[in-house]
Amino acid sequence: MVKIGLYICHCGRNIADVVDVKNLIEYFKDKVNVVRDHLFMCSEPAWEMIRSDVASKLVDRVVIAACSPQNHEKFFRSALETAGLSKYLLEIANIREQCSWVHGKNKEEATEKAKRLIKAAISKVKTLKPLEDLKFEVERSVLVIGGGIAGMTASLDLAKMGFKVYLVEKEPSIGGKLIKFDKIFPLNDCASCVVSSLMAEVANNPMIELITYAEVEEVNGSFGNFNVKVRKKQTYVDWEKCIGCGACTTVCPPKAWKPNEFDEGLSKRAAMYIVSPQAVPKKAVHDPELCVNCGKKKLGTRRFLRGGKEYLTPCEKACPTKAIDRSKSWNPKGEILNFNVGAIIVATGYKVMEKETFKEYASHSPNVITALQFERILSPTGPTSGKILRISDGKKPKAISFISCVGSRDVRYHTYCSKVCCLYLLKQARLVKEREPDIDVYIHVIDVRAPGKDLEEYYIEARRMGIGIIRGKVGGIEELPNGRLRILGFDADLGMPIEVEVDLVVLATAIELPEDSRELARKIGLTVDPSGFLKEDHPKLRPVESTLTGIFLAGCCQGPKDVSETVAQAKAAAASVASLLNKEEIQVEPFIAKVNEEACTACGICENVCPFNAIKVKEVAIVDERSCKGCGICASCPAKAIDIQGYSAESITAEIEALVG
Amino acid sequence: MKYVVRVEKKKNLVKVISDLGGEGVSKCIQCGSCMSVCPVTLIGFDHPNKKLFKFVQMGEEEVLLSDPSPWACVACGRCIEVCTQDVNPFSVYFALRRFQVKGFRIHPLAREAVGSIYESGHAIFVENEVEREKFGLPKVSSAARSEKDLEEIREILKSSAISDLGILPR
Repeated sequence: MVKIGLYICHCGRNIADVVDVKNLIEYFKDKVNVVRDHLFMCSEPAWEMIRSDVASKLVDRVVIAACSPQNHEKFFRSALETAGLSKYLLEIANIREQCSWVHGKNKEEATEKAKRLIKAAISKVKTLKPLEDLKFEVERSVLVIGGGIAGMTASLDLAKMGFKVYLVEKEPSIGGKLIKFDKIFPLNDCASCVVSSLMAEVANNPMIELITYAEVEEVNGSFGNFNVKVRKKQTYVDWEKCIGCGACTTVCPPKAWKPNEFDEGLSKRAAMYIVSPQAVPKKAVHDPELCVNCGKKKLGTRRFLRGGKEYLTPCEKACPTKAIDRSKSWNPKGEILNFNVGAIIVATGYKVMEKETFKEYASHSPNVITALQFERILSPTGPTSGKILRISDGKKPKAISFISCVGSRDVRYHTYCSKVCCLYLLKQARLVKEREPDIDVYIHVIDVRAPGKDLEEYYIEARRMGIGIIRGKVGGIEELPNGRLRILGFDADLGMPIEVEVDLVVLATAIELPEDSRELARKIGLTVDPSGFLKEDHPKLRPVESTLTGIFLAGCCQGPKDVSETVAQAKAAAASVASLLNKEEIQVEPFIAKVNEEACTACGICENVCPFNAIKVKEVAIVDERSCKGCGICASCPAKAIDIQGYSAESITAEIEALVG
Repeated sequence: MKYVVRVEKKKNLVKVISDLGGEGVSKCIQCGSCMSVCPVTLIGFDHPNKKLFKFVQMGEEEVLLSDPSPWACVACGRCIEVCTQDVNPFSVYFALRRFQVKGFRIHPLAREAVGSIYESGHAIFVENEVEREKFGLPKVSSAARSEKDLEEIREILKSSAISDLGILPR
């Protein structure tokens, strides 16, 4: 006979205020071997109480009635393990989140429900069998997805700790959004000086394999040993030979130009292009969708002129190292790279909402731009070389209005605060005032949010510089016949409507998770939370871990944050990866599919339904322990030959019977 | 009422008011603590402290020239004590008085105060003498001990810059 110990937690007043703990003790005292309660079962004295009960052989199965197993299951398991019992002979009845918190108004029924939840846990714990952790060898390498400030910081930290890093970036160059900026708050230090050196360090670190212009196609396996498939996009330029001189980009005809992504559409780029002057690697890329096939010479073909001389396109002719050969037949699908890594850091960054969504802000006007576009106007590598001019007519504006909370703090779009807008608007406004003091600058805000070190001081300095802060959400913008823009606002400080006429409007549009990051999340099984960003495992205790073991998050893909916070999170993610991979082998929970070989008829259904390709059927079904995620789909086996360890059909039936019985 | 900001007609009033002694005006962040203790606010003037400072920051000249609130300041100094940003609202108020005087936009409140000094030697003037009599209070006395002293006060006023404004009683 098993000896069951039941431990009921008051959780301060969280549980005990609603659920009658005395009643529970009275009810269960004859049904189990030991019943104890504690004000805080997650405290050290309570842990010691459980451990000594197990160690003195009073109990050999433990039921904890407390909060969600997500919080402290591992902590309770350690009490069993220390006492020499299999740590998986434990079951938690969640009488807080699933009982007291949701039934606060009905105490009697809540107590009844708690009884049932505990009864179910007791029934289940009786069926449990001792299990051992699975042990795997660790692959001492890491995949970092995204080459922005977060991805670069994490990669460098890991490389310095001795891990092999694969840094995959979808653009032809690393550097992310930050390389587009001129200066960053709160010190107004040069963004390029911060990022360029990091980019060079990443490129020259022998432990980092930089894979740019590439996307992650597939991730299989699990923590300790992921198998990664990366598709390297076709550049149609031999990067071994390309020296990044840019000769090909200047001869590409204007017919093949389109708005330049690096300048947020404010300038044009050719079909042959180098992303930016600071690009790393500085290599040319060919955009086949834009190419006009000069001289009717299509990719993969040769053309000979009369007289037998071969025709070369302008880009081929211009290239001093013969890196461009358009007669080679290239594979448009690119090249697939396969490698194994022990852990993954997702650092895919953010995008800002397009201005077109906001018709009320005269978004059709070329003089209404997004803040990211204005960053390019301020940047010395931008379309105006850092001069403050309107792109529409090249004239210096007399007045500029910045509008914050465009799409953020707005239930129609995003309820969250994008967090960085107040400060980058103050930064942009200050840069305008520093360069052109005669330009009038206004910032329209709901509030100014400048929390943290040096940031309020940054705001005060902005006011001192004569930047007009107008508290009140702007309701609309009208385009006037002379091209100026009239802002219809409200000054909440004065309680009066206000009109401001300006020449340029900058919208601080909300920060969002890009669609391709969402796609990536779907591919590798990450969760997107209600805010639309990637979900961390625990907002306070595991803020850099994703919901999947071995996959970590860094930077704005997890939520809006500024450079300092992004770097902090990237370093935290790198340290977390190191703490997990810095061992010979890793231990994984044994909740995976187990085949009863005698019952298996080798029908193959399980192999077909497994979403992780973890089952192969030969004479009998064989489970790949590394790939199995314990989802349980295969347990629908018609011969009942597959069970999930720890969640067997017997356990679950016993649980259900106790709940409804 | 609505106010309209147009660059063409805007003046840098922060500089003007700063030069007149209200250097703190640019620091105001509109927290409102000055207004929570200010008698001018309690009496119910339209644009007490922080509102006027906002108009200065926004360059709204007309309101600043015509608003009577600066003249209602009793120099109690509470605003200076509570200000979180070291604006010194009191000194901005006095700078605004100077601003109005320089623009020859002297509010009747100011005229009455100066008139009262001329008549009786002090700035506080009593509107209804009859009521005082009813309650058995003495007549409002002069700040001067004799008619000769009062003459001297008037002489000082006449020879000061105030006489140029044409607001002294003839």
